[in-house]
Amino acid sequence: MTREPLRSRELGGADPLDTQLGLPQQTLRQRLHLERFLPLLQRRPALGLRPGISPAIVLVPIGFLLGPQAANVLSIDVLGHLQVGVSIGLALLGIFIGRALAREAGNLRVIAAGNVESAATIVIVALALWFLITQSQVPTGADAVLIALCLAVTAAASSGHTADPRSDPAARLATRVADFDDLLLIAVGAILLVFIRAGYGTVSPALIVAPIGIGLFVALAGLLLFEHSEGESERGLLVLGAVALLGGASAYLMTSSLAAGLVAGVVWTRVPGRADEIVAREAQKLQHPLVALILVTAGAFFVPHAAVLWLLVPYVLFRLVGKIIGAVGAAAVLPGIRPFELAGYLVPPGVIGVGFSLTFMFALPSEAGRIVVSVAAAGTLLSEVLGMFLIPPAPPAEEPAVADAPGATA
Amino acid sequence: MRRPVALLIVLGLAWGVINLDAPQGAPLRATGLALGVALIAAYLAGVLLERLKLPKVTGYLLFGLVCGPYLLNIINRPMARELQVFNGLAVALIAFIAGLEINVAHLRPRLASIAKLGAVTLAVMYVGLFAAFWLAWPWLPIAPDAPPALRAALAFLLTAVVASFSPTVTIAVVAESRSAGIYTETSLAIVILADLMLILMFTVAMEIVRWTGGGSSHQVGLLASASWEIIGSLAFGAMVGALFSMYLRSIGREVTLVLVGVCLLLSIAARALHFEPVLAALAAGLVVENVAPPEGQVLKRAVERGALPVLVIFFVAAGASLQVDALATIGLVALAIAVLRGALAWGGSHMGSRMSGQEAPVSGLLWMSLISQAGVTLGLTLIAAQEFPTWGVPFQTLMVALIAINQLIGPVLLRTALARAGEIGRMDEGAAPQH
Amino acid sequence: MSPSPGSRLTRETRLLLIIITLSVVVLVVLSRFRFPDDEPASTTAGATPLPLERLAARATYDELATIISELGRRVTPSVSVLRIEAAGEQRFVPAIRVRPDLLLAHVAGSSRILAIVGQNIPVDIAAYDDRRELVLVRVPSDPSAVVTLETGAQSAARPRYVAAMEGTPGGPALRPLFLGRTDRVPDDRYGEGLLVLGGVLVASPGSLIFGLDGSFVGICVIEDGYAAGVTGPSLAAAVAGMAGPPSR
Repeated sequence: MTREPLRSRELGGADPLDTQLGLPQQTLRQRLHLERFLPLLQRRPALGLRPGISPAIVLVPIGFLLGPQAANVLSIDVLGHLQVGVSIGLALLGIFIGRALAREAGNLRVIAAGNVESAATIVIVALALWFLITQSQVPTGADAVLIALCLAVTAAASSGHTADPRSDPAARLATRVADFDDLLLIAVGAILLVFIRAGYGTVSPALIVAPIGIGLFVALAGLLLFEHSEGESERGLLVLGAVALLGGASAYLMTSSLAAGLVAGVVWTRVPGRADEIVAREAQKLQHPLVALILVTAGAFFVPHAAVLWLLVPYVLFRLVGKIIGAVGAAAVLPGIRPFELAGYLVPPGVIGVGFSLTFMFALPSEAGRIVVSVAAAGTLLSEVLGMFLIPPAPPAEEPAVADAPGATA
Repeated sequence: MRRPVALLIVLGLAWGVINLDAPQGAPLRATGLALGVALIAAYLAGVLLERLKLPKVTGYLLFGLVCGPYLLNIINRPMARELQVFNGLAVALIAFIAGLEINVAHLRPRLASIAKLGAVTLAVMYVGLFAAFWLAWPWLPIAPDAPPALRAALAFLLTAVVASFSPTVTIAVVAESRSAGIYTETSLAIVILADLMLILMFTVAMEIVRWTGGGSSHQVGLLASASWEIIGSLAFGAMVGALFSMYLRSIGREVTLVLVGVCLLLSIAARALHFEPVLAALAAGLVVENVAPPEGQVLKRAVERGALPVLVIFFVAAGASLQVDALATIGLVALAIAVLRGALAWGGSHMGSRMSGQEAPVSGLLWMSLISQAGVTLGLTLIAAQEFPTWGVPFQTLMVALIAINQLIGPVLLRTALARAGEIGRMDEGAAPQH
Repeated sequence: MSPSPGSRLTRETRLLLIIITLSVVVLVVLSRFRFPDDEPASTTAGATPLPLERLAARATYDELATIISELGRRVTPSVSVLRIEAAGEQRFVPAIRVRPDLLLAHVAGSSRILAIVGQNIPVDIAAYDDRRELVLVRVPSDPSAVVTLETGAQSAARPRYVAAMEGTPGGPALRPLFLGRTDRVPDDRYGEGLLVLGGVLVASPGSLIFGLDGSFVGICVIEDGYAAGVTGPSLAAAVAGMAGPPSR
């Protein structure tokens, strides 16, 4: 069985439709003779954008410009309706994390390394931000511990597509560590959401296991449906329906879509059959639009609040410290990798942290929610920029995103 | 057996989630749940109906109707409205697909005969309906005591609206059944032609009603308004289509994302600028297919394959928003009009086929594709009701009931006609490499 | 004979450019007739929703109730209610936490604050601005409940529903409020002027106005024959004048 590159977890290589269409005979870049400027920006190919910069760097500012603070094209009303897309997008990312986990379940060292690294980041960022909030008395609209924990969870994520697998063995290992550092944050995030809800009144204990229940039920329905579906259209519809159910049911109960998606992803991969393969192929078609939606929505929710300005730089710095200390811990578990090299690869946060901040935003009191999402979105943007300078450039190759796409060789 | 069990699991999960421990404001977050349930459960309902030799789209419609706010209320009003949010996007995508299906070079030799067929069919329907409404006016629950001039104007307006068809439903049924062939092409062309006529006739009829009713004429000229809606829509769509083609040719990245953006632009921006989204999206698809064929072909196949969820949601939302209560109040009159309309469509299409030299399957089956009515008709009815509330409200109730009947019958008839013409599934044959 | 790829590309690109140009020309010409007095875009501006807002399905009254209840969950922790006596009558006025240890309320100068509802602590008035009739009441510190006054005014930027929070003996109570006009009128007491809310009966004086997204819009005051809103930034400036700038 050929394994697809793990880096497809978050962004999935090229959009399948792009792959089918093939490359334009003469790209705009060639027509405008932009090649000479590309080495300045050609760090990592992602989301098919050229030059290859992280999607967060492009889409978060676009979201801000379209959002209520600027053009107001994405007004508060519209953003409220985009919540459905965000929860579905997070469920989709959860499925990809679950698939990666199920495939690498035997590799306990990598899983442990990823979780040691994210635990260190959560602890360091949470403590630092809690200290800063309580000392400064900066208004945050919710309990300082809660805000600090929410932000720490968003900070713990690292991007699975950071390291180009063609770079070197260290980069490949770092990619896998980054893939598994999301496990802990998904678990902590899911529990945190129950705590947030408990702040508004009593909650049913069943809510703690609700994401697992949702994930199992949808996974079971998927197993019954996917393999016996007829044709690509039908498979696409059923997979989209399953992902929408995962995200929709979680959003309805205000629990974690990522956790529900993760459970379903694990089940589909571990149970024998073709369900995993079908989900991977069909879900990839949804990935880019949903990732773009998450980033644009987060950017649109940004508010230049005093607390955001106060917490932003410490968030980025302590996240970096957390990643370095976490990388030292991870290197102890996983020999053969230099801690600082690993830390560099783990700096770009990707999409999951931002996505989680949106989940928190819809659950927290309004002001606190906007602060969390603003710090996470701006922090992600800054960390991605930081990552551009910390990660060695990918080896030159013509249009690598398309070449690496799983469907490209089909 | 697997599918019913899966259906039970999905419905059970939805029931469990709604009854577990939803926090305050949960109904506001019901969209994703409604979307997931509608996609899987409605699709399975459609498959079930297909076994009973009925079209899947009727299954989707009936699922929406039965689970919707008027009957079981599993998809409650907020959920139904949330599903409608996707409708604008769905209509644009469906019309865009129709544009991609129309190859002008292929159709050119038959354009004159199709135009003749359409003109005769519509003329028979217009004359027949107008005469019937004029004669039966005292018994129609709109404005029975209207003076003769206003009565004639209102009868004309009612004729224009009742004689309309639904290009969206027609295209959706064709796309869902993956039909292709001479009958499919002719039906699509006639329905689109009728849509152009509807806009023109409705504008003229409204202006006459304003004039005869003693109201002030609309500040914008009749010709200007109609030409903006027809020619402007086509120009706007062509421009968007050409820009999209250039993007495909020059950049060709993130096409899915850009396609969603194009459909948003065609549905929302077009509506904001008073264009007709169906025409605009159709023109965009036409340009992509006919000016940039290689990209158009790949895009067409990809969009067709990915369109099924959009079609399912479109029909579920339509079913959930069918106002069956209107049927209860005014059902008999609406049923009589529906029968008359069907009969005129049958007579008109037969006469038109004879005069334009159409042969089977078009001559015998065309009327079956002229029954569906949906969003465009409803939208025009709403415009009339808002401007003339005194007679507009009973007018709207009558039309809503008529649309409900035609929406339920139309897709079944069209699917049956496509099956009899032997064109179901032939879209895939056309998609196979031909060289 | 088939043309070479290069020439085909050029021809098709040229055709696309012609289509774009022709479409623009047609649209410009038609718009002159369709919108004779003004620009096409401006005919849909004003009170018409922004294009993308058409995506947002309109809420019914039932949904409005749900939205208000959801909003209450999110903003009530930041609000306390003051029991006051004015002209021999008791009234209840909401007070919003603007600093960890300070509540802000709009209370007429002739009134007396009797108690903070639900809190068994003496009333400690930190400052009173008689020109603006604003009072700051000192309470035990709770940084988590502070509301930032500077944001949210755009929630009332055009006619729309907002929520008015009023004081009751049981605590703060929210109700929907439709803002029909949102003009600003100049007022020398407030840098941003006052926001016209409607007639005098629109909300009781001292009510807190929130956008449906939870952002703070302002405090309702009754001016000469109409209800007005003192916006967040104006209140922030007033609070800074009364209590000094916020400490970091």
